[in-house]
Amino acid sequence: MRLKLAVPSLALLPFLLASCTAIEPDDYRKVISMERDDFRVLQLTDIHWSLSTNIPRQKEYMDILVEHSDPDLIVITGDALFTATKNIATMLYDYIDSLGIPYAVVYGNHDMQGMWSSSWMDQNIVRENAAFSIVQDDVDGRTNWVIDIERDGETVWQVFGIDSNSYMADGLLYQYDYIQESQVQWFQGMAEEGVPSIGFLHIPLWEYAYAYQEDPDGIIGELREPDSATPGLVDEVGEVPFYPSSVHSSFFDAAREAGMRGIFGGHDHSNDWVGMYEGVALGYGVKCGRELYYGVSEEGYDLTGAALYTLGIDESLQITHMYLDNTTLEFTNEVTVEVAR
Amino acid sequence: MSTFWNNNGQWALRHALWILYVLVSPLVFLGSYHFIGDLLDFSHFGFLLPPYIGYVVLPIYLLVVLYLLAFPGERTNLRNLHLIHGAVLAGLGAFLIVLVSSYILSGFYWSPVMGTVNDIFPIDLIVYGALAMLLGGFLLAQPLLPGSDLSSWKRKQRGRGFWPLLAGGIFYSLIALYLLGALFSGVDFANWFSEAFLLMFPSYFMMLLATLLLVPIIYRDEVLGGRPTRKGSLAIKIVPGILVGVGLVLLITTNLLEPNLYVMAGKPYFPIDFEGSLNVAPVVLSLFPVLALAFILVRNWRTPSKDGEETQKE
Repeated sequence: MRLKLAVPSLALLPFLLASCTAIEPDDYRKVISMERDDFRVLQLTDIHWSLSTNIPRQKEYMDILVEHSDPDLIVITGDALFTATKNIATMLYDYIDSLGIPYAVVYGNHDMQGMWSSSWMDQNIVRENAAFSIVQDDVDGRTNWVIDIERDGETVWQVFGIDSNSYMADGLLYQYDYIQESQVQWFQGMAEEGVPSIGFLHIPLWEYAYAYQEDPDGIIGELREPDSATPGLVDEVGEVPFYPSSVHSSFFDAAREAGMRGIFGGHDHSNDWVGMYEGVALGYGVKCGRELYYGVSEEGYDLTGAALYTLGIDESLQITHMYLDNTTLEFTNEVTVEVAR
Repeated sequence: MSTFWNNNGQWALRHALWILYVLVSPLVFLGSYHFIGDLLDFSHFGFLLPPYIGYVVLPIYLLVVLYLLAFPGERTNLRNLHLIHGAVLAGLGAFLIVLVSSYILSGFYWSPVMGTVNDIFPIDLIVYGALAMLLGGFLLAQPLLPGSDLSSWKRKQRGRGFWPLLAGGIFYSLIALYLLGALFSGVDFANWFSEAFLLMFPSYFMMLLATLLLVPIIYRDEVLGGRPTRKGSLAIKIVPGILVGVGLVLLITTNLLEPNLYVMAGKPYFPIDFEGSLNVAPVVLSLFPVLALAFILVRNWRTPSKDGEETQKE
């Protein structure tokens, strides 16, 4: 996390000392072995547990998704909580950890909007099965991590988590923050040359809109959010059904140059669309459960469930969107696409 | 009990009012969290109705009742006031208990100790309901007990603007209670050693000040009967003026130094800002103490020439 202030104070001493600690690249890096010919990453996004959540019900909902997809890794892409308490936040990550599957978390813009401190939440999300660490150094964002997927001692895929941060004040308004330059440089330092990768974040990139402009249909999913006019972006593409960062980050360029195959986020609950831009798949997972708000597909089923990314030993990448009804707990649809190389 | 209430009831209520104000503030903050979380479409209103009643409606109503009883008007029928509000308070408590019990029995609340809001939720709501019933029953019983005589209770002439002022006071108190509750609750969720902790101090001060400014208002109007001495009148204007002035300068300075102050350290205190993407925290923190100060200055516009001889008309 970047030090933004320069207020000399004894109270800040522990923090200042902590920030001087040298961070080794391996603090960010975890390794998971690929035990079969593919590696399955389940993305749960915008879970949004709050004070009104029926927690046993939502656990049952996620149990079905996990059992159905049999993942090797679970990635939670932000907004797992919303105006909740420490008790609820503890229940959520107790549950995630209890699944016994390696998991990783990137924060969304709402994850600190509850009755806890950020340092408490950092500790709460890192449990026994966490495949990531919270590293506090000069890199912006709290949840930047990389997981190397190894086969026979060789890295065959990399899975990145990039903290898209939350808000930035703009007078009396808050705009969505963006992936800062320090994170882009961090990513460039962690990406292994010639190794395919996928990345997870929360707030969409501007390139999502560029992909939409080139091909509104995309390769999978739907766009059910109303149009928005993000300042700056609106001059380039007009009003589009995305709510991206307010500043154009250079992360996409770095990701494309590093050979990243896909970047997947959350944030816009009613969207589960994925498009292609300059050879990279860009889009959303499927909102997990009905909490807060959710979209309904053109065919009438809820756009709720999860996304599964199947990373092949042959560098193939499959995206599966599975839709699970929150009331009946029955699957309403499942779609799989192969991402072109 | 009745003799005790005849002689000491008003004194007890006046002191209980302040203690209760402080005690219920974290509940009001907690209740507001429920409200904000459901603000988008109120689709969970039924599920959240018991917390709304237990954490917000009951405490606020109780404060209003205590205020009306502690500072009765000249023509207030204290007997009826006890009877009506005692019955309503007990009824609200009973309703809360029945509501929570039915939710638990029907499975709508999946356990008697869901443990979501706190470790014993929703049992805590049943406890609050029981306390409201007890207190309501106590108030209800007082005028009915033999020997009940509330004629010695101090009264004050109410101006014509009393009820609008009371309504305004309730609205102001809701905000002030939220801010005070946030401040107290923040002991648990402040980032004590974060870079922004010191910069949050003026915000914490303003959160406290919103409540502190109620003290001179109530003291002047209700304890001094609207007739402060010359020194008292000056103090009532100058001390809050200095506090608000210093607080405002520090608040503005810290927000200018770090425009993202509340993004870094204020999200738990002001969740509605981040739900609506509106940076209203500095506005609320400035506006409410300024409003209270303006009210104080208007009420004390004219300073008595000698102690107690000349006072502003009510």
